[in-house]
Formats: sequence, C-alpha cells, structure tokens
Amino acid sequence: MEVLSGVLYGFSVALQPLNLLYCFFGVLIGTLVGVLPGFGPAAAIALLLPSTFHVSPVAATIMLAGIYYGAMYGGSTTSILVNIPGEAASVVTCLDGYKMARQGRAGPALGIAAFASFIAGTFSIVALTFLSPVLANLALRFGPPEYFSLIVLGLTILAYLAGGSMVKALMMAALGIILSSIGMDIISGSYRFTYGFLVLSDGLGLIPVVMGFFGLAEVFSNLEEKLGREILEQKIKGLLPTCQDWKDAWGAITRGSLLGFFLGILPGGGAIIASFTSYAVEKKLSKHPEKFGSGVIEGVAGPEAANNAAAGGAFIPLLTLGIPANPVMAILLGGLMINGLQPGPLLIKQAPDVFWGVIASMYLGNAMLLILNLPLIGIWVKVLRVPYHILFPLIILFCLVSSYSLNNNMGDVTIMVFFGVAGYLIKKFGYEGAPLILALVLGPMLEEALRQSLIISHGSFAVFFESPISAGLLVLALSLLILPWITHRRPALPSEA
Amino acid sequence: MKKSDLVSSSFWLTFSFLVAGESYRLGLGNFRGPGPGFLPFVASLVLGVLSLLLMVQAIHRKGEEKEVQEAWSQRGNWEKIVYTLAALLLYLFLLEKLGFLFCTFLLVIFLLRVVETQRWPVVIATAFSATLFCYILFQLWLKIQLPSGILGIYP
Repeated sequence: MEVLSGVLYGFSVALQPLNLLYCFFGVLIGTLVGVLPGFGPAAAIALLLPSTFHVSPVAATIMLAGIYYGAMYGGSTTSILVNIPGEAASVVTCLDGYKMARQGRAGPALGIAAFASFIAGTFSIVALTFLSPVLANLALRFGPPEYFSLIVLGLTILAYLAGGSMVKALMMAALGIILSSIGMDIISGSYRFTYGFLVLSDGLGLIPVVMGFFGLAEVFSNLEEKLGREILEQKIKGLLPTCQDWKDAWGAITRGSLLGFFLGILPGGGAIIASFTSYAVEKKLSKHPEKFGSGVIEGVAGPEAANNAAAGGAFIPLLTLGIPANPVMAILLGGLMINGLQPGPLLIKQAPDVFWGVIASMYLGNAMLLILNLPLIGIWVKVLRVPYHILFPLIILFCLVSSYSLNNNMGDVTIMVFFGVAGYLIKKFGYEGAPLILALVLGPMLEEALRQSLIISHGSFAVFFESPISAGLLVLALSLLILPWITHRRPALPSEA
Repeated sequence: MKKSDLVSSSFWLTFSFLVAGESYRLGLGNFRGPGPGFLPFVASLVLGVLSLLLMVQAIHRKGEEKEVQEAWSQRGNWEKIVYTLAALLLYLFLLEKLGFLFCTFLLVIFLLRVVETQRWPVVIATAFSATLFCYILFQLWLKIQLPSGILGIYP
C-alpha cells in the first residue's frame, strides 16, 4: 500500500507541467545522444549538468535520468541503419540489426527494438518501484563495514566484467581511488596532493573529469580514426513487427528484461554488459544458433530489452544505497549532491518528491520514447546525416563552456582538457575509463567507511568479517578476483560506458 | 601489446612510488586511527603491485603483436590531434584575456579550416552560428558569466 501511495504521489509530481517538460527534454536529448555516434550518455549528462543548476532538483534529476534511458532507445537506430553503435550498449545490436536492414527489414528491426525497449524499460521500472523501498529499508541496517565491503565488491565486479585485461581494470580502479583523495581530508582537515592549486582544494571535480574522459577524449579518438559511415538508403516501411516476428522475439524480450534488470542492479554491472550477456544467452538457447549474425530478430530484441532493463535497474543501488552502479549513475549522484540531496536509504524519507517523482517520470518517459522512436524515426535518420566535421567543434565547445560554467573559473577547464588528453592516451594503451570514474566517486565513501570501521573496531580488521552481510560481500569479491586465475577465463566484453 | 604494456606499466610503477612517498609524508596513522595518507598509500601499493604483474605478463607474452601494431599504425591522422590540442591550450591561455566571443570564434574557425579542410563560407557560417548559439544558451539563458575580455561590451 505504501508503494501504491508513493507511486500516486510520484505521478502527481511528474505530471506537473514543468517536470513533464523536463522529462520530454531529457528523453529527446537522450535519443539524440543515442543516435549520434561518438558521443555517449555519460558525456551528455556531464555537459548538461551545469544547465540544471537553476531548476528544482526533481526536474533536474528527471531530465538527467531521461537522457540515460533515452540514449538506450536511440543507440539502436544507428546500429541498425549505419552499423555503427550510437553508444556502447548497442554494439551487439549491429550484428543482427544491420543485417536485417540490409535484407530490407530495417522497419521491423527498428520496430522490435523500440517495442523491446519499451517492454523491458517498463518492466524494470515496475520492479524498481516495488523493490527499492524494500532495499532502502534493508540498507538502513548497513553500517560502515557493510558499506566498505559493498564498495569493494562493486569495484571488483566492474573490473571482472570490464573489457580487456582485468589487471588493467583494477589498476584504473586503484588510480581512481588515489585521485579521489586529492583535496581536503575531511577527518583530519589537512590538504592532500593539492600542491597549492586552489582548484584542487575541494577535490578533483567529477564533472570535468568525465567531460574530458568521455567527451574530449572521444573526439580525439574519432579525429584519428575518421568515422566512415554509410547510411542505408532505403525507405523504412512496416515498423510494426508481424505476428511471426513477435513469436520469434517474445522469449528473447522476456529473458532480456529479467537478465538486464538483475545485471543492472549489480554495482559495477550495467547496460553494456547486459546487452552482451543477453545476446550470448539467446544464441545458446536458440534452435538455430548458426543463424545469429545473419539477421535474426531475437538478436535485436534480446539485447535491446536487456540494455533498457539494465538502465532502469541501475537506479536501484543509487536510490537505495547511494552507490552508483556505473559512470552515468555516478554523475547523477554528483548532480543530486550538488542540489543538496544525499542519495541513499534516507532519500525516500527526506526527498520523497525526488524519489517517487523520478520513478513515475520514467513510466511517462518510456511512453514518450516509444512515440519519439517509431512515428518520428525519419527525423533521427536525418540527424544521422549531420557530418562529423560540424559535430566535433560543437562537442569541444560544449565541453569547454560547460566546464567553465561549473565554477566560473579556468581551473575546471584545465582539468577537463588534461583528462581529455589523459583519457585518449589511456585508451590508446588499452586501459578503460569506467573503473577510474567509478573509483573516483566511490573513493571518498570507501575511505570514510574504512576509517570509521577501523575506529569503531579499535584497529581490528575482523570488523569486516563479523557481520554476515559484510563477510559475504567480501568473500564474493575475493572469489571474483581469484576465479580468473584458476579457470583462466572470464567473460570477455568490449569496452566503454 | 607487449611494448606498449611495458611502457605503460613502467609509468604506473613510477607513479605509484611517487604517490606512496607523498602519502607517507602526509601521515599514515595507525590501524586504530588511520591518517590522511592511509588510503592513498594502500591504493598506491595496489597500483604498484598490479603494474609489476602487468610488466611480468608482458615480458612472458609472445606473439599476438599484430593486433596492437594495427591500433598504433592507424596514426595517419595524429596531426589533427596535435593541432586540436594546441588550439585548446591556446584557448585556455587566451580565454580570460581576449574574451569568450573572440576566442570561441577563432577556435571554431581553426578547427574547421586547419584540422578539417572545409570551405571558407562553411567555416565562417559555422563559427558564427556556433559562437552565437553558445553565447545565447550560456550567457543569456543560463546566466553564466563568460569572460568578456577585450570585447567588454556585454553587461
């Protein structure tokens, strides 16, 4: 009952004209970001965060959330029509989606992608609605040792699932923690690693770092590679999938929704991993696995369902524990904190308008996205034709001005450019940005939890193994670290958030 | 990956030594009351150990060189990155002196004309509209004080 009244209250918030407008802005920008290759939701949310400073925290969060799940819809369009993923969670959609388009079935491919996204998105919001109050209650019992163990587990899962070398992913996590300790130490009040730079005294800002890593660094990579793209010149017809299509895709959508949701909840999990796992599962379960990659509809429906369900699931750890599951959620966390809100188990009590309003807005946003992506698909195909040489100066300009606007000084701009170059080099050497970003956000929480735990226990590390929850989480983390050494294998996934 | 892994792991190893030293200087405290240098010290140890591991892995690895050579040989466009970066650094240096409108206009012209080779009408039109768009969006609508510099004409 509590949930029901919460949802009703949420709708009363989300349906206020201004919030509705921001929800629409969010999903619109999200679709745009999803459609444009070389520019993902993490960079977009970081760039737009400063522009939300003058609206209410509810409207701001509703819009930023809309960008995230909206991008999951838009990404499939580029994958299907151009064979370039609009953002990383749509990489696998290329495999069968583009083949379908080549066979003249672009319509049903786009259609099933949108419907699968809608079904899975709605499913995950329903699950989010019912699960998060329960989890928030449970999380109230979490003390510093539990938080410490949970953060360690989150970083380990991220490294375990990251693309490429696990050693490198863990190195990036360690580097993120080092970088997170820049600035004033809250407990002792002394300055760490600031070396007289005033801009560092409050710590290294997450937003300019993300803009550098996912905005500017991407521009550098794209300038080097020269994106060649060939847009399929054909009339898109028959967006509504046939009965046979539905029959083929139904199982994939259901499994994708469930899988995506649970992978989304995992700290360190997320939409990218969910889409890859779903594709692998569908291929394994299929009666005709050899046809995967030649344009089967399950290969589009499953991953598209999974990435949308994961986008919804990822809100659970943020809203209930205050722990972001992926870089995008990390920026949302930053946004909430700038607005004076502390995400975590108390959010539901302290700011019910944000908690329920955002959840309710996601129901509305998903419906808007279905309309934006089916009847209006033609507009997005046109957007795809905007040449990159027009796009990249704009991305650079936005990164510059947005980072300047954070504090009206050059310090953040310098940090943004520095991490743009660093991000480009790091990728060049085969490292990934996501563990670093997540560790940068989780670092201060990790440190506080660690030091509080040790103060409580008078310096005994046994405190982390005394509570069953904390012990369980740590054992899980440890086994994920050891497992690849014993079995010499772990799921290998391509990179980047 | 061998050579690039050796390069990057040596870099991180050196970096972790520096951080460990600085963290020690900050004060590690003890387990009962960890000091400000405690966590960065532990993290730098982890980074150092992992760098060593990566280095050992790279030394023992043979073959599979091809893949990476490809990644590094696509450097046909590296001039573009250098030009863009140089322009950005100059922008950082001049922004507060010359002002937002002037610098931005020049930056976009440079990016479109030198980094890409667009025709002048396209260059001027894009630079003009992009600058104006940012000015309206950030300065007028979002009320962000952009540096006015020598063109101190706006309020």
